[in-house]
Amino acid sequence: MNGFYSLWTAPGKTTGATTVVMQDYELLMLLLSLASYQKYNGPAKMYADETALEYLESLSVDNCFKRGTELLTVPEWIEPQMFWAAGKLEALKREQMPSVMIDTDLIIWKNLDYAFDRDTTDIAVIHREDITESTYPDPHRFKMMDGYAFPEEWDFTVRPANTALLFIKDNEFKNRYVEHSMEFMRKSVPDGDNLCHMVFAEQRILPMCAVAEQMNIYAFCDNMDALREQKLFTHFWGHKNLLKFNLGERMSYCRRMMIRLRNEFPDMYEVAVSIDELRVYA
Amino acid sequence: MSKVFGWLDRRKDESLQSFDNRINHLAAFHSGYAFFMYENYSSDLSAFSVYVVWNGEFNRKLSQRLPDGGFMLHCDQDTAVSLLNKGEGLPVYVKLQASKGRLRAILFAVENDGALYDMYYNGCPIRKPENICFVSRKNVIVDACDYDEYNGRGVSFNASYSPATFSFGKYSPVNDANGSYTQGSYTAKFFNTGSYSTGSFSAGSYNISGFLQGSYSYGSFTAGSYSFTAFMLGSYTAGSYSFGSYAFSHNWEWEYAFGSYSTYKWSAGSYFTGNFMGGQYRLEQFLQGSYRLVGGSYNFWGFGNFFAGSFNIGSYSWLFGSFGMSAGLALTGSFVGGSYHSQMYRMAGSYSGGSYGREYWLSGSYNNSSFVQGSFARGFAGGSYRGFEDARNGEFYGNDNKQGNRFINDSNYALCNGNRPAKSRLSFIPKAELEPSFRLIAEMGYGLDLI
Repeated sequence: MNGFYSLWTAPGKTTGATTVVMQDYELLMLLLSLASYQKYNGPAKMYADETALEYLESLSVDNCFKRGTELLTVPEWIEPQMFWAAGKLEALKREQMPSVMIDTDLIIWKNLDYAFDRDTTDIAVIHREDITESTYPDPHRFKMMDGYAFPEEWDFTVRPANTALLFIKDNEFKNRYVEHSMEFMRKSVPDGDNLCHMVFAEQRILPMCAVAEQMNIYAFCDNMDALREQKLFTHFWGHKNLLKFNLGERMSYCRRMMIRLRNEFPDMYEVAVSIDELRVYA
Repeated sequence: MSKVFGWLDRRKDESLQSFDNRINHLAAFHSGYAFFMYENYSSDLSAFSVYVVWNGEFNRKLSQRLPDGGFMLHCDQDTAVSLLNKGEGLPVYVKLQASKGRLRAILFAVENDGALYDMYYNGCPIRKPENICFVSRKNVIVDACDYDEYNGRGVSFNASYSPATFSFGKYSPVNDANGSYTQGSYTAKFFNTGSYSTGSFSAGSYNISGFLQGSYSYGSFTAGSYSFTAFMLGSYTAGSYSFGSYAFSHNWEWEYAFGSYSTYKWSAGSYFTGNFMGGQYRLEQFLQGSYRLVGGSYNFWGFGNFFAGSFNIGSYSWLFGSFGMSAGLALTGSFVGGSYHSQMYRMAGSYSGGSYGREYWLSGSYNNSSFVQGSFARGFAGGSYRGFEDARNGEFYGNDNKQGNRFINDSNYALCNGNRPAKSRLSFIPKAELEPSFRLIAEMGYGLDLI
C-alpha cells in the first residue's frame, strides 16, 4: 500500500529559527520509518515545503522515497503555531487514496494489508482516543468566525482518532474530510491555543465525518493493553521531548536506531552514515 | 541590553567547522541559576527537582531552548540542606556542543561552595520556588568573553568561564581531551570524545564525571581506583575493566559498548551499556542495553537515570524504556513493554506496555510540553502489599484500587517523580485521575522497546 509523509517547516520557524534542520534522532526516526515502510508495506512519498525539500536534498535523503518527493505549499492564511499539523492535511489533500499517511516519528514494523484490504475497513488508524477536557474540550467553546456552524450530522460523542497513521480507502471521502478540516481552520479565531484546535481539525473531525457517512474506522489498538502489547508500531511522540533534553537517552536511542538500520535495512544505513550528524552512531 | 554571551556567536571570519570546534572545546560555563525549595526535594529519591532560571540571551542562542523545570539533581539530605540554606540561586554550569553552527546544551551541573552536582533532564515535576530573584554579580571572569562586548555593568547573569575549575589535574600529556591519557591523576569533568589509541589508563587515580566516547583499542585499566560517573560509549577491545572499587573473579569480554558483556562478578559505580550475562552485579548508575542475567544476586544501588533495554534475570524478566533506581527501592522513569516481576517497592514514572506483577507500584505520566508533570495515577497492581508502604501511614495500593482514592483525593499529598515527599502545599499538582487517559499513556511513546 502506498504511503506518504509530510514535512512543513513553518511551525518551527515561528520560534525564531531562521533555518530548520532535523535533530539526529528525528532523522533516524524518519529513515527507519521510511525503510521499514517501504520494505514491509509499499513505496512512500514525501510532501515537503521548499525549506524541507532543500534540507532533504542536501542529505540525499530525498532519493530514498520510492515515490519521490513533491513540493508542499500550505495556504498562508493558516496560522502555523495554532495549526502546526496543517501540512499533513495539505499533503493528504494532494495524495490520491487509497494511501497511508505516516508521521515521521512513527515506525511500522510489519505489513498492514490485512487491515487495509478488509472490506469493512474504510479508514484505519493506530488507535482511538478518549475525549478529555484538556485535549478535546467542548467544541462549542471554540471561538469561530461569523458564518461558521458545525455540521448538524456531527456527533461530538464520537471518539477522536489518532492520525499518526491514517489509511483512507475512498478518495472522495478524504476530500470531504480535508475540506471540513480546512474550513474549521479557516474560520477559527486565533486565541493562542496550540493544541485543542489542531487536534480537533485533524483527529476529531475525521471520525465524525466517518460516522456521518456510515464509514467504518479500524483501530489497530483500541485499548491501553493492546497499545502496550502490540508489536506493530513504534511511535516516539512525547518521548521526543525527553530525547531533546537528555543526552544519554538520546544517544542510546540513536545508537539503537542505527544498529537496527545496519542489521535490517543496510541500504538506508548507508544513507545514514553519509550524514554527518549520524555518523557518530555508526 | 549588554551582550554577555556574544562570544557564543560565530565570528565574521570564522568557518562553521572552526566555530563548532571552538564551542566543543569550551569548558562548561555559568549560564543560569538553580533554585531549590524544600517541597521539591524527595528524601526517598534523594533528589531535587530543580528550577532553573536561564540567562535569556544564552538560552536564545541554543537550537533547543532549555526549559525551566524538569531537571533532577541527586544529593543526600545533608547536601540538600546546604543547597536550601543558601536561600538564593546557585550557579548552573552548562557544557555546550556545536554541530554546524547549532548550539546544544548537553551537560549541566550546579555549583555550591566549589562542589559541582550533576543535573540532568528527565521531565520531573517541579513547583516553581518562591525564592527566585535576580542576582547581580560583578565578579565576572571574562577570559572567554569578547571583553569589548562586556560593558562592566552589573547584569542579571554574568558569564564566567574559568577553565581552571574544570581541569585535568596533573597528568601527561597536557590537556588534550581528544588525546591519550597516561599516568598521573585525572579529574575530568568534560566531554571527552575521540579515540584513545595508546596504552592504558595506568596508575594514579581517576575521577571522570564527563562523557567518554569513542573507541578504546588497547588493554586495561589497571591499578589505582576508578570512579566513573559518566557515560562510557564506544567499543572496547581486550583487557579488563574495573570501575570504582571492584572485585572481579573473571575476565571481561567486551564486544562493544552496545554489544554484549560476559562477566561473572563485578561491582560498578558508573554507566554501562550493552549486555550483561550472568553473575553478580552491583550497579550504581546507568545501565543501558540488554541484559541476560542468569542466577546470582542483584543489588541496584544509588540512583541512576536510565536503564534501557531488556533484562532477563533468573525468573525476572524486565523490559524497560528508561528508568532509574533509588537506594535499591524505587524505580523511576518510564517503562515500556515487557513483563515485570519485581520485589522492589516503588516504581514511579510512566508505563506503557507489558504486564505487571509486583508488590506495589505507582504509575504516572509526564507531559513535557510545559515541563510540568501531567497527571499521576495508579497503575495496575497485583500481589500483596507489606513492608515499606505499610509503614507509611498505611497508605498503599490495594488490589482492588479502593485504597487509591484516599491518596488521590488528598490534596495534601503530592508526588515528586512518582514518589511522595513530605506533606506540602503542592497545589500545582493536579488531582490524579484514577486511570491515566489513553492519550496520556500513548503520548509517552509506545513500541519504544521494539527498536
